Amino acid sequence: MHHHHKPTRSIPFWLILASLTASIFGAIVLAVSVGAVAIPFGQVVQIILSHLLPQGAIAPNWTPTADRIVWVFRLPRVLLAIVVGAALSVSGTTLQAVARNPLADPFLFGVSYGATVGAVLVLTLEATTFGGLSLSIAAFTGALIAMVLVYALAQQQGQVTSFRLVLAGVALSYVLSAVTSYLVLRSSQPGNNSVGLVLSWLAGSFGRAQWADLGLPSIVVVLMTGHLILQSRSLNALLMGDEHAVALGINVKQLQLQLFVITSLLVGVVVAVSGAIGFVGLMIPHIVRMSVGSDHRRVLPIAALGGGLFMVLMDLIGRIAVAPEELPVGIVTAAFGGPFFLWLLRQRSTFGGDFS
Amino acid sequence: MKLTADQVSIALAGQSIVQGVTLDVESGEIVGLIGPNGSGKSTLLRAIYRMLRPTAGRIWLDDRDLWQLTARESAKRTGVVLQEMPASFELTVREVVQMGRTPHKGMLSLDSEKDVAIVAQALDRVKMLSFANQPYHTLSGGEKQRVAIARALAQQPKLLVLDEPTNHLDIYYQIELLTLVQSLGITSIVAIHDLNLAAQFCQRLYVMKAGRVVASGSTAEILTPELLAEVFQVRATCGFHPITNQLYVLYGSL
Repeated sequence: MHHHHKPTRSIPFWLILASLTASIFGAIVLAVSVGAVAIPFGQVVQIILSHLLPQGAIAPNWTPTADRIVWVFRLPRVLLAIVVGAALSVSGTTLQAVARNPLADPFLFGVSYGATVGAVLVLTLEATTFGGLSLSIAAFTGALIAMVLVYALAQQQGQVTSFRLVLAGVALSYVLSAVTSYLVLRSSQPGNNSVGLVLSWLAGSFGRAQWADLGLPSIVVVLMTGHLILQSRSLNALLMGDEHAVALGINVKQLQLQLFVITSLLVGVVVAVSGAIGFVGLMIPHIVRMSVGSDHRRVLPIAALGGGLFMVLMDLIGRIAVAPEELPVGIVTAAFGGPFFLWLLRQRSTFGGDFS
Repeated sequence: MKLTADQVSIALAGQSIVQGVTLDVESGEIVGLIGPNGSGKSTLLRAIYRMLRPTAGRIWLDDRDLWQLTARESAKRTGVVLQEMPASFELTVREVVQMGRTPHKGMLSLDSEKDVAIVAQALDRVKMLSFANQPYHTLSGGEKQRVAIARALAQQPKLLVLDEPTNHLDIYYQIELLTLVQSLGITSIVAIHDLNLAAQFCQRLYVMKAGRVVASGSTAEILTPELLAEVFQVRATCGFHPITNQLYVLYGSL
């Protein structure tokens, strides 16, 4: 009587993986090419290759200006978008498994807000204790404190229930968002010029991306995503609930704490460089689960690539939609992502297992 | 595998839930745990599948102290079937059963041909092989519980812990599920509310009340009007069916 149900996974996994990778390369070339000064696709590829290959391998037939536009201004920005998109998407996937709730994302858990408070503190105090790292460290610390608070608040007789986890996350998010508002208001006193910087950072933007910003987030994203993929079986077991995960030999508490630290790290390092960008952590994991199911061995790699691709395209839209002005990418993800997500939800009648 | 609980006590939030329970389940035996709601059956079972650490006493799997084992070593020995196995994410039946291989697999190891075969075998054993590619959440309650058993079987357990596995099922699926458990020949401990099913499928019973074992013995020794009156506060008639010679319990006095 169930045999009428449509098979959900008709496209092979490797094909999705390969086409996503190809699309990312395509999106890089496209996004680097488009802008106030348009640069032909072929030239973009040549300029990038000329920097990667040994010097003299490609004879330059382009202007130094074109080289600067591609290599100094646009490419770091595009690569940063990929890294940030991947990080947010992977953290969303992980938090959904921990909370056993497909509605979880870094914002719902207060992690993003915690990272924001940490970063805004540094920005408004103009603290430079750790040099360029101070923003990342502050954002990671903020995210971690928020996570630990949520986890502690959700404890009940030594057990953490999914329901209390979400509730505690939402409550803490309100508190932290109020703290952020207070910090911004306080910084708008006469004589303090950081408020503009803070506001544009809050909206989420890759506008000031430099090569130097890429190092830490890239390393963190690659290492942590790799680590999470190795934990896929445990993440799968978590989906069935604590009791069932324990029955499958998972040390649930230890795993939850480990995943919280990893998520805080991922969210912290990307919030520090790009501000708090919403919707990606919720939307991309959903779309991925719709297309490949819930096995994290498939979900995590595809969520990472998909999140990266999505973010590049959103940033591109932000750059061309109201040119010569720029829309912060955080606004684009919400404005384009929201309706797209709602449309997608309507395309499917059964969705999200027992939640439907 | 033989299960032994020796003077096990469990407290939750400072409140004593299970007090000094001693019981054993011989290899291959199906032993029932009966008692009113809140008598501590589920809590005791939780300690047996390592969800709750006892505050006192020991639990032995053969000659191994359960709480000296790692979570993974324990999961290689013990399969668990609970009242229900909810799924808030879309997983196929096969993926759910594959999870049973979790304790046997390292971080880097892929599913081997052996794993695939074990999963298929487990699905076949519960007659769910033809459902392997269906989304788990579209199954009926009875089918879901069969998948839960298949997942436990994929763990290749030597002990099955079943906590009211038939609670949400209609009578057809209740009998089907317990018949299936009986046919497996695996040492099993099952908490169960329905005394007639307990009489039919269990070899021995332990009776719990207020956190203690108050009686134990063969089904015929336990299911008596006196004991049911004392433990469950119900009037009951117990007897053997004249034709099938099966032990039964009828509620209400003659």
